[in-house]
Amino acid sequence: MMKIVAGFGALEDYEVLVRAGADELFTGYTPLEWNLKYGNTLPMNRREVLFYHTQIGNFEDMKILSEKVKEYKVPVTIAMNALYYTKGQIEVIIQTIRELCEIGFTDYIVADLNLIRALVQSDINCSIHMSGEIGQWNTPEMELFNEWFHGDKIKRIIFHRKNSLMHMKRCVQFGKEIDFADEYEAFLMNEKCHYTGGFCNSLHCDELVHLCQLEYRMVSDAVFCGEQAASWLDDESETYIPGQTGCGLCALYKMKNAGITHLKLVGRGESAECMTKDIMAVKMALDILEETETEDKYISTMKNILFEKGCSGECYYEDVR
Amino acid sequence: VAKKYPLTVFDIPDSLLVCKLTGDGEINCKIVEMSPEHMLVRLAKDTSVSSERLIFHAFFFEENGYVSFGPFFAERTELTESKFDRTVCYEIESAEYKTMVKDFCKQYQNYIRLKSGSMDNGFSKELVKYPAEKDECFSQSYDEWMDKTGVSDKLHDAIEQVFRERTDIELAVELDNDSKYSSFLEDNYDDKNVFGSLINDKRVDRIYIGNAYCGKLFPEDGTLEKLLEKAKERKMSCTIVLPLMEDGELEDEMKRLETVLKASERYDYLLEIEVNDWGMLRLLQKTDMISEKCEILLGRLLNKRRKDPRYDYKWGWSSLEDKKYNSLDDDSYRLLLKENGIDRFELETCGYEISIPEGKNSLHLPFYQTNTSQYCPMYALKNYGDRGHQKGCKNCPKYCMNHYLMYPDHLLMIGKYNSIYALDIWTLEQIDVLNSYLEKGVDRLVVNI
Repeated sequence: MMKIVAGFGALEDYEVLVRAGADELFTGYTPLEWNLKYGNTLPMNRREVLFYHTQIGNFEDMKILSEKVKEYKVPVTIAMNALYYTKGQIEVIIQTIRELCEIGFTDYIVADLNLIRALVQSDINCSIHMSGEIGQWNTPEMELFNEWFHGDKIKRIIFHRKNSLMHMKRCVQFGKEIDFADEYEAFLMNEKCHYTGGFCNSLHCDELVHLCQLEYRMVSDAVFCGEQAASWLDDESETYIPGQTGCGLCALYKMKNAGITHLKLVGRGESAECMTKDIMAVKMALDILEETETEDKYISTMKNILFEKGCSGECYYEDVR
Repeated sequence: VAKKYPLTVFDIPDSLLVCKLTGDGEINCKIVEMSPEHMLVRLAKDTSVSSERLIFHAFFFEENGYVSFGPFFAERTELTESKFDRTVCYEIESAEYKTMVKDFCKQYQNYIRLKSGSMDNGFSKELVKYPAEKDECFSQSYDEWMDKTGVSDKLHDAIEQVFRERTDIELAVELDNDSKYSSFLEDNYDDKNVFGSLINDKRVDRIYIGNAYCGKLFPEDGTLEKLLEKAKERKMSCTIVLPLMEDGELEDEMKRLETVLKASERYDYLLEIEVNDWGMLRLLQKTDMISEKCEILLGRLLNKRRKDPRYDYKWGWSSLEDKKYNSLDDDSYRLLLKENGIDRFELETCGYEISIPEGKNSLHLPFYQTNTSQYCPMYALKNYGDRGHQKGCKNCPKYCMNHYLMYPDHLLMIGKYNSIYALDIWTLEQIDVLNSYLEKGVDRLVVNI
């Protein structure tokens, strides 16, 4: 069965999400020294805020988390997934990863090819999950990266939000043929974006809204076409619907056939309560998937049970049918 | 403990406030609760603490960064020990500590109040003096917007000044859509068209053909050859821009590559190819063309940098020296690229001074990309009325030829093709900065207006 990978932003949430049924968790870690030098201006990962619980900010909590992982045996991957780092930052990150490896954190989500290069060339015994924030995924690129980063440190490929199901299937098959990575992760729930993560160079900070959420108006050469705005700004429904800001549950059948091994539930910064509900919904969908033989049957059963009052319509995978 | 201290606050993000226990060593730890009189911290079970000396690092947005407080000396009480951690209470009698806690909590509450009370940019106005009132002002057309920016004159002046003193710099223009391909082939330019006037003045040494962000805008069959022929006739060199490869369209990309390679053979050109997809680099490596007949350029989509027209409002931005660097300033990374046949880097000006890496560099200006989507937001908006409802499309109607997403004028931003771009007027007005780029290794300016 495909595994549920959920994000969390505070130590307290680990056990909550484990109890909800997550198979694997991911979070960020930014030590004080990094924040003192770079703040959230050149951040250590893609959660570029200070005023929210989106990651862990002290080594004591990482030590405690490590003990919890040993107890519950639900592993935690650490996101070091900024689009790029400076040379000086890479030196700091390598040292940070050494310290984290010593207390048992061996898996890292990385988007910067230069950091991946440095990790592959280092003597650090860690595994790399190549982030969806790298940009595009395609088979020639996998071949190139297999040559650049040969060895056994590349463990997983994370597809980005806009990869089609057909395309993921092709990449998984090719990855297996060239023995590139063992695991393939796809986005399943929350935070669907209008732009591709790897090509989004704008601010995601506390003090300004995301660039893609600014109000805009479409005009043509001839006429003013009316006002548009990012639709989710007004979407403040208080009733819980799974995947309210992005959902791929209808695609689970095809994902399984495509060879996807892990399912990402975006959640660093989300409340543990919402994440718990999301994890439980996905677990239920996975159970339905196991018990149904056809895609149609899976989708109709799953929708009847999970979306009695309708779904969000924020589909991650438009090519599901 | 909180019951004893009525002003206790909980759950403060440790990115905002960290307690450092200092003594023989230093231990950074999470503050579980805090009041003007006490504080609870969480420690790992095996962490031994002998010190009662505390230092705090608190983020204050009015200060644009962290402020340190202390050391404070406190009375320590071990409170609870669970299976995984232990909690320690410190009682602190200090006027400075009390003030710190009150000030910190005030700004934290203020942030929550502002953020929860405003879904637009009202909170940014209070936090960083972002001019939210200007967000109401939109141009009604692309031409109106361009006129308001004054970019044409500013670009013209900048080019005049640069080329008055330098004769060793190449000037290039981008042809990145059907309209520009036609204009170039037919020598038919709009009066307001800057690249047209540059070409007519015979100042352009090179043309870039193709769109870095969208493959649908690559010249159609036959057009590429005509463009190359026309460029040769006008004694211009050529750079072919290969875009981001579309999901699952490898065969189309192979065909495109074949067209490019055939064209280069036919015209016996030393072509440059800008790659914007690592997969395309691999496909090129599989041909025998790289060293003999073409040079590979690291494209703008692969050369990541922080780009947003609002950076001037960002906490801590103006004083951050490292903002000018990116991966290309690392010699190990440049070596990896060189070993893979990449000879030149495509840079964009982006509203602040950037570092120029060793090697050959082209500088694109005055527009810079901020966001790109593999699937087209414009197509989604036109077809489904929702920019997020994106799908791949085989036969693109090219709405982008005459549709734009206008953003508030003061941001100098525009949604065009499948991307958002911003206009860098700052660099055009900083001739010293532009000249310093040329001295540091930029040998080509690429006008993308």
